[in-house]
Amino acid sequence: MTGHDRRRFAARGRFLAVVLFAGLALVVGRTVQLQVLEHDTLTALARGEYLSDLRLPARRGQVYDRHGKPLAISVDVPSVFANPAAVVDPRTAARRLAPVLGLDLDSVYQRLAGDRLFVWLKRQVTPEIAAQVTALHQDGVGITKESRRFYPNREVAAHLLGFVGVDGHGLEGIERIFDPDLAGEPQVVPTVRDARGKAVLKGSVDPERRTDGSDLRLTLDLRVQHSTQTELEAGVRAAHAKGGIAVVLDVGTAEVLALATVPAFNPNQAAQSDAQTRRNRAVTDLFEPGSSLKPIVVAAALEARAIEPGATLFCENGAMRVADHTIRDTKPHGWLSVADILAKSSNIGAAKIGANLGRDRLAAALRTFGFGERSGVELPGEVAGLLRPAETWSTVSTATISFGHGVAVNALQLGAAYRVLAADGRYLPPTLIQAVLRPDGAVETPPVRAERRVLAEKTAARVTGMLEKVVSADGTGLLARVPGYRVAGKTGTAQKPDPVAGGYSADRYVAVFAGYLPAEAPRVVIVVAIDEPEDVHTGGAVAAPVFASIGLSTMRFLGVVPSEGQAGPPPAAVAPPVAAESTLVDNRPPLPAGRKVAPPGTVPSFLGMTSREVLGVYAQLGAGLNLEMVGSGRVVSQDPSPGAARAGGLRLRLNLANQ
Amino acid sequence: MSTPVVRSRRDSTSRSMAAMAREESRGHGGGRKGLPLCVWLVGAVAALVGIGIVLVYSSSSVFAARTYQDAEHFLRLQLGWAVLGLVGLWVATRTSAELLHRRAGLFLAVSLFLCAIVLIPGIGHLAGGARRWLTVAGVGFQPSEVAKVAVVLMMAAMLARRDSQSPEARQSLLVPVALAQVPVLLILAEPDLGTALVIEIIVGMMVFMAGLRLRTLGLIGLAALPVFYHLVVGTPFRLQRLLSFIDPWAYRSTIGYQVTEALISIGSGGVFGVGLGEGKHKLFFLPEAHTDFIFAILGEELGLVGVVALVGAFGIVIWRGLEAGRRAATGFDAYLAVGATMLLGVPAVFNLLVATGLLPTKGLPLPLISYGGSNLVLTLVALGLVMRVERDGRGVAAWEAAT
Repeated sequence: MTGHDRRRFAARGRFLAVVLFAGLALVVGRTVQLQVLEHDTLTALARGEYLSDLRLPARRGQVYDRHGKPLAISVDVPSVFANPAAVVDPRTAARRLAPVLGLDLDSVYQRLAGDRLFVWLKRQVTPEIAAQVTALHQDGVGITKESRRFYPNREVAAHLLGFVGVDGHGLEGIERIFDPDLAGEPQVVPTVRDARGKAVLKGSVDPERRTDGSDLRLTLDLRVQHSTQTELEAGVRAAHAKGGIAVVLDVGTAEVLALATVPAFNPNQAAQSDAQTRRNRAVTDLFEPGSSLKPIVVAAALEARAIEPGATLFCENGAMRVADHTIRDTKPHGWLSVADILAKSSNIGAAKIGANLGRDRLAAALRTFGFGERSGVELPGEVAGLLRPAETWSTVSTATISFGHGVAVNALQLGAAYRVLAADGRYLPPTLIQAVLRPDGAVETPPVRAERRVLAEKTAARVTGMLEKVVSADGTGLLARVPGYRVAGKTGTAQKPDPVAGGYSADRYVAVFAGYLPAEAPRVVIVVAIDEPEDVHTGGAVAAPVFASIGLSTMRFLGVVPSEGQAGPPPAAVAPPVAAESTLVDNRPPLPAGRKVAPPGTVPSFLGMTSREVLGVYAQLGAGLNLEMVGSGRVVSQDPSPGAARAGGLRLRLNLANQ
Repeated sequence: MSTPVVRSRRDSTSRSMAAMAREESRGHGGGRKGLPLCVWLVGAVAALVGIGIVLVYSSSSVFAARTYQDAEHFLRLQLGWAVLGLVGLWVATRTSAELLHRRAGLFLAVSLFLCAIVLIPGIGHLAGGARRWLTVAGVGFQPSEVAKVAVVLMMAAMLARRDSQSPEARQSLLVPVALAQVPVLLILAEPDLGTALVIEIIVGMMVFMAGLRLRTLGLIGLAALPVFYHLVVGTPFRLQRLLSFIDPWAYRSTIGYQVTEALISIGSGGVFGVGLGEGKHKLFFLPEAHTDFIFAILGEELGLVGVVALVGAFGIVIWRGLEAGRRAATGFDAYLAVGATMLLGVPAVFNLLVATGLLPTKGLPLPLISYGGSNLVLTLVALGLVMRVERDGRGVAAWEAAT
């Protein structure tokens, strides 16, 4: 043995080496785990920390009617911004800018003196102020256009168009459904920030570099829409009703020419109306069609040869026992022809026709007319019609469904069903969109809709003849007459279901008139539904006159030649009395004042904001704030409180609640 | 490791033989050219110092620009320390084993003195709640770093003497261990738990090399547990570090912040890294980016490729260092090589395990890489000692083969 035992020393040295190399191997293994296996997760976390993109929204696409009249447009409003890093002398710059912008000298200086990359000086200024700012030629200060949504026709077609929210995204209607097309691609300026929220690497702002949204051309005819809405409003007012719905469909193409809901709201100030008013009831609300379903039942029975066109049926003198239930007519009738059953609107007659057809065939026929389905129109929130499976129908419900109770539709679905009668027996789903106009000039048309034959041409013609009789001195729909044009249509009055007591309400009705004209070569289908009229509540009395006035003005706008042998005013092309056009200039809503910007370096106030608004402001603030939102509704408290100094990596906690 | 050579070498003869061999190797006698230093060691150390300087610059420039209005502040300082350290390394390779062996006690005494006066308020510089710095001519350095090297020298000398006098008596192994507790206690008083722990581990490794059974080491460790427990649990920030280690993501915004940021930083590097200087986490996201957590910046900017290269370089130094101990000319040299290698190896492995979240956060720099002057200089000096041992070992082997 010498100084040390070499064999033992070597062995123990190997042991130490194994321990240390095991440690190093562990480190490499762990690094592989982090850098290969968890690379994506951790990179995403890292990006979230240091990247805060500045998003400049694209110009939102315009919405036009079928003749190119603007329905929703985006106005580029100038906004003044600054890049403080590029402002050499913030003191002088502030002195020059403050008076032009009408701002406090100190607040302008505060904003220019920071070392952020982008601050708004004043948003949505007038063109005059923008021109003055440009004339100053101040380094680091520029004008960018911010898009603002504007609805020149105000209430006209408001429900259909919808509106956009504070973040510029469509929240309702066409604006919502076509948001991806309308919105375009925002310009994203990547900005790298350090943990203290300061911009570190330079991004640049070039307002020209963005992809604008596509324009939309609707099938809507602004003139028809305007008169429809005006007449509907007048009718609702006259009947002291709660509201009303009117639909005008083009017979040839099933395109929606007008879709009106009353009461309306002003989409330019959508926030000032309540959500109930903003609901597009023409697609979201179902009602029982009542007697207006009878022509469909008759058509189905004729088509199935369950009844002969010339047949007469005994109407039991006003009361018929079905199972344990008595069906009544408003007036007792004896023997009536099929045409008279429609003209007099006999429930007993309709029930007998339905019984002749039989439960299963009736249910199947109603489905081919589109009952129980969605019409598929390009609007959000459409509900499918209510049509229970045939096997659940009792004898009584087969009878009541034959005169329109126990099924439910929205106005558009009823219009699409009537269009079958008007269009020689063919069903075509309604549509609202003519074309999507891409910013590069490309025009995209919606896919061709599948058409199906529901009735033989002859059957449709027969029912049309019968429905003409409804609009005569012998029928319930006399008031739907349009001077100069032959009208085919049917009244309907349905009790509303009582949500509290169950069953039907005794005094709340929906008065309906559905029809088309001119009867000999139908051009448009019109459905009018008046919700809860007071006193007089029948479709013939309340809805038919509204149908008549909408029909007349529509015929004029479309330049339809009056029916032969009908007296009436000439169909001279009428100058559109559309007040809407002048509203383009006059009725601009005042632009909202620029959002209050918190002084740099302090925490802004989020109180009262919705989470969506919070995120909008947060996106502008950039990184440096760690946002944490608790609850839903509006911000009721925040920590730290507004005005507190912003330090690096600050955690901002917002408590939201529904008030 | 080929056939283990068991040679009988009585102290006096072996000493003179070794001395002759050393003369030979240095090229003093006979006009022969001296043996070169080990290329593995020199290459790996040069690579590590190079990577270190680049990373210190990359990780500190933004912070330095903000704090000192000079992006190259830390780079310049670290370059200066590196030059000083390389001079120290060169001197260490030229210092004879006899001088080191004889003066080991003196080195220890000087380092104990420095460790003692750093504790005196007014002399020792207080930073971050600890007194670890002595300032000489405006330049700060840490006496604990000097103490680490001195303890290794002292241990090597005492273990070599014990081997020649009473190699069978295991109890005598505990004498140097007891002596090592003096600097450890002084360092604990600063306080610097990390460095104290590293010294204890190296002391343990050296007596283990000298024949102490693992069982005995385990018992000593067990006996130290209550002390360790007190040090950890009795100090709130250390307890928190331990808690955050168990689940850093649960404490992500508070005490787990540093570790999770390090993990995110490493993970975002991927296989090839985001590129030198392109890392984002040094932008104040990652605390201690240029010191204790510089590995995370390496992982982010150079990716898995850089990590493997770095770990490989450390592995080469550890391997060649232990090998130098096995082939050393004398017992003193053998212990010295192992101890000095561990001065690099132990903190390196600790730091890497901490930076990858495998050990609780411990304030230990990554040797040769992290920013920090005294650590860089003394680590290079220690590696100079290893290189000298390796060269002498080769010289003796050659001399013996020749005679």
